[in-house]
Amino acid sequence: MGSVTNTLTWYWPTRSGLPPLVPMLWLTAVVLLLAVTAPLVEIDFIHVVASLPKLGSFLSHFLVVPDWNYLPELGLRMLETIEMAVLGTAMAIVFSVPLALLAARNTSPHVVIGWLTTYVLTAIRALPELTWAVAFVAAVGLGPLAGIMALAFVTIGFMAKFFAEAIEVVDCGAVEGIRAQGAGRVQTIAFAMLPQAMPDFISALLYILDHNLRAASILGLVGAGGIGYDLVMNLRLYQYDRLMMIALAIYVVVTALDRLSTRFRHGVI
Amino acid sequence: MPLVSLKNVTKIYANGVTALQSLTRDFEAGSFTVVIGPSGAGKSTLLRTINGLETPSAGEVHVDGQPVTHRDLRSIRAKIGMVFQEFNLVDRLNVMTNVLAGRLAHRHWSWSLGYLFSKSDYEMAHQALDRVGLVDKAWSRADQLSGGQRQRVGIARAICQQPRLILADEPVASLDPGSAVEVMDLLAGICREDGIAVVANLHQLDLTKRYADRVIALRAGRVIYDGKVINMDDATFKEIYESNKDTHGKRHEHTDLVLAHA
Ligand SMILES: Nc1ncnc2c1ncn2[C@@H]1O[C@H](COP(=O)(O)OP(=O)(O)OP(=O)(O)O)[C@@H](O)[C@H]1O
Ligand SMILES: [Mg+2]
Repeated sequence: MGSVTNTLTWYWPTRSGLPPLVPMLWLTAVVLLLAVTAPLVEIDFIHVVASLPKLGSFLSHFLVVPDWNYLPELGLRMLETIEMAVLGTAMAIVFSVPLALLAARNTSPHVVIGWLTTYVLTAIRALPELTWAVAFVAAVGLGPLAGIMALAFVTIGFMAKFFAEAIEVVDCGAVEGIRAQGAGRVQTIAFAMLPQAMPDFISALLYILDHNLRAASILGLVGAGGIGYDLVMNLRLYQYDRLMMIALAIYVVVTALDRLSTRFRHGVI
Repeated sequence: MPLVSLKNVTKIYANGVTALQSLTRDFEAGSFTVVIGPSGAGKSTLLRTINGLETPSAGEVHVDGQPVTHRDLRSIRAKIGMVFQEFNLVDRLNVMTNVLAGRLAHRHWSWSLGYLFSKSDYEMAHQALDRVGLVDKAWSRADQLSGGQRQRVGIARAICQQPRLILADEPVASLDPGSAVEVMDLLAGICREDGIAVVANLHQLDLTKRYADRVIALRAGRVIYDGKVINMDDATFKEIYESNKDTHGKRHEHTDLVLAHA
């Protein structure tokens, strides 16, 4: 009964002092499920460990002198990739704001329209950029245009959802303050909801831009423009002196964007 | 014709709470009315019914002879400014834009989409800001102001509307005593000089005595006192709150403060 034993006894902050039952059951279920299903997708832990030396020898190929002659072309390709990401994101904004206003519970003209919009957005998000890129390549031909359209399309699915969520959590006080002055529906949206949702909009936008930059660098795989084409070709040809430059370039651009967006966010919010 | 008239107005909220019980009352143009009463008496509900933020379950509300119906809300609200306890400004917009929002009822939405206002709108907003002494803050963001300043922006927004009536729901409850007097002086000045009627909810006996032409006391959704503030002695005031204590068994945080004054 001494205080010493008390300080050494640990409890969870629940009524019984035991771990909370429901989350624990879920956790156990998930772990069991993973253990049972791992063989189905041929995740064999012994195999994973045994392959480590192979991975090492693959990585050792990158220890070569870079092919500096490739630099100008790399620059152009990276520029194209960045342009694709920026244009795709910008095009998506134009469509996402109205769609978000249709989907958000507090701005939707009707519940049914809200649901329908949400379903459409989910459907758009269901397939990754690469899949849409294949479709757009078939529609508009090889090149960055197909990539931009694929990016914009999938981005709408995400952006409108994020924007709608931002609109739904807008502080009611400001909205009521504007409404009480006799503002109409559209005016209330423009003067209370959009300004108050702006920080969340910008956060989502920067996150999406970051994502799209990485997505754009892979779309070349199906001929939809950007650095992805070079990436695949050089991988097929075992040109590690170029591959390593491409990897480095992508890393530099993604990091730079991350820095920039952090700055921008602090400036705006 | 009274500016506002409520006829047998009953408000029952979705959760079954009856906030107003068959309330009939008129408010004259240009008068300064203070509504008092314990927490939950229905003061906010009364104000919000006048400008259609709440729809009465039964009864009728007329403003300036026009029935308050869902269809005419904009034109009704164009005549009514509202000042809130928590200011309810759009924090991320600058002070000027917040004040200009008072003009929205008079402007077509297509202009508002581009945040466009006419020269006369800017003149009105400037005058309103001048009136509350905040011209130098016009281009600051609203969330950079102090509480007292924010409430003055709220009042400027209401003035900018050029309303017939200003509803003020506990306009000084979030303010220090100094700012509170400033805000009340502004409201009283607007009422006297511009002939704009004011209906304010207050919890402070001293402010009520100082500013009100007429006092309405509510309890459990009914009017239990309506008259000139001069005719109201401290005993009456005490009774308004004490009787509540008996029926509800709880007191509002402000009630003790008011009783201490009384
Ligand atoms: N939106 C709402 N939904 C349900 N009940 C509500 C709602 N708003 C107010 N009420 C209830 O209606 C009654 C009157 O509320 P009201 O806000 O008008 O009181 P009040 O006199 O303004 O009180 P206070 O001095 O605390 O502001 C209270 O019992 C309250 O709980
Ligand atoms: Mg209230």
